[in-house]
Amino acid sequence: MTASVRARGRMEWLADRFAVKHRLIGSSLLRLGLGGAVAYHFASSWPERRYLWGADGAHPLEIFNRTNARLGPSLFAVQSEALFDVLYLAGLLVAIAYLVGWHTRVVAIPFVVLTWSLLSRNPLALNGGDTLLFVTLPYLLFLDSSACFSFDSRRKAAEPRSANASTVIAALHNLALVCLLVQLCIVYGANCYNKLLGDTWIDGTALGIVFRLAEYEPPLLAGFLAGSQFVQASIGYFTLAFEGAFPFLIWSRKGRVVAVVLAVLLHGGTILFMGLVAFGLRMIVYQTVLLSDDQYLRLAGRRGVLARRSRQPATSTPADAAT
Amino acid sequence: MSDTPPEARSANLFERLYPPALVLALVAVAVHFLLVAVTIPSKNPLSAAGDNFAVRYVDPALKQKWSLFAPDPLSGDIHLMGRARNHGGEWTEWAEFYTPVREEVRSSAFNPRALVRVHLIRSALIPLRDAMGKTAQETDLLLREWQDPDTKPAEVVSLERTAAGELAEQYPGRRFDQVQVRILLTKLAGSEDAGELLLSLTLREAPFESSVDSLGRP
Repeated sequence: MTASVRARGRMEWLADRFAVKHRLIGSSLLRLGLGGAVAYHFASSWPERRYLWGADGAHPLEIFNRTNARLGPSLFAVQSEALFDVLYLAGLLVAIAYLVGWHTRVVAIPFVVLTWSLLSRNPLALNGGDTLLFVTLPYLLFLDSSACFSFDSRRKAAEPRSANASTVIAALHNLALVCLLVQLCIVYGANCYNKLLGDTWIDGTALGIVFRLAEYEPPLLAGFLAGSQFVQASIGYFTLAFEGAFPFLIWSRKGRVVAVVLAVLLHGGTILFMGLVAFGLRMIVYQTVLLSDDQYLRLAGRRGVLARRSRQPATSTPADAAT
Repeated sequence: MSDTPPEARSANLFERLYPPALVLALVAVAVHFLLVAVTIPSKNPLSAAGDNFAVRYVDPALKQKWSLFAPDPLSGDIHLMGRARNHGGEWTEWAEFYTPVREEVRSSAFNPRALVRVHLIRSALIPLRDAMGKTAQETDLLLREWQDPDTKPAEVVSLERTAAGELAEQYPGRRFDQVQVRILLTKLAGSEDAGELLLSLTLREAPFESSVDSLGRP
């Protein structure tokens, strides 16, 4: 077989693989998680909205306009308080609509635009989870995240599209998935790399410092965590090992499961022991796209049964099952 | 002459174009993330170069910095204090405006002011890190640069406006014309000499412009 024939064969294999949407369950769970997180972000920050994002707040308009190259333009960079409030409430409403999966393809556009605008309005009010949300928002426009657990999935199936259109839409969905996965690899890989540059992570004392910081003093087991160097070093090395291994684990079927379990352990720990609730939950939500539909169905004990509107083959494709 | 109907010709064309188009899209995605990845590490000749294509590509919306507690966690507790001066030249006492927010957020897992705490910490960290390791002369130069309204960092503006808002609330009815912020770093609890001052950075006076409804109180 010549090289060109082999290359052609591989290209067709890739094309076939991308022509069917994968990880629809994970994508839908991601929609639930991010929609909920953003709705909470808007709702809970209502009393502080003027301070954090208002024209005369802590990051006033004249400073935003001077440094607006930091993250980009924002719809919330307006002088009028009334207009600001209208946009803010619109952001909350579209987040709720996105969460429940109502006309998701259309709603995703204002959801992405308004959420992106709010985050970029004040870069100082971003934690790590917000930054990850910020850079992954554009991918949500191409992701089919309403195949499950949504109002859209309960509605009558729309007019069937042409085969070509379905193929393009499926390919865009899968490309968005690939982008999300690669972005997650960058997050964990970069965190690991940056930690390895620090002496305290190498010698295992970093968490001893973190647990004594007033912001992160553990609400639970404070004395135990802050007092035991063995525990601090163990958790620190576990963190390094997980973050370093993550970019490699997620590309195999069994590795993904390990990655998800370890991620939930790590971020669950930051929630319970450091009070980083919003950040920890956000990171756990992103793990939902790691598992295939088949893996979710097995988890639910419903392998081979998929009681939802069929936009795609009801069960994972043979290609998906093989991974 | 081909007898193939138009729909079939269109389908054949799509089947021919789709695989290479997909490969091109994947290559574009790979190049995109490669450019993003090379600018992330903090010690990196590419990102340090400052003006190369990768840096210009990611700036501003794709810039990422994943360094939670990295390379080393800040080994001290931050305190933010502010005072104000009236038209007669009298200064108020220094008042802490960050610790109450921090304690309030710690008291409940879903406290809505968690974002305010994030904002204040980030506003404080940048000036602290810029000032660390500098001589008194270098620090003085830095503080003078920060006084220029055209180049004053957003973090410094945020701290000044927050402090002004807090002081306006603490002294209702009084009128002030200047505000001053002090950032302190103290030794961690549990360490020897816990609470001892590690670093004190007093910013230059600035016009008293309070942020609306300081720290979110109506």
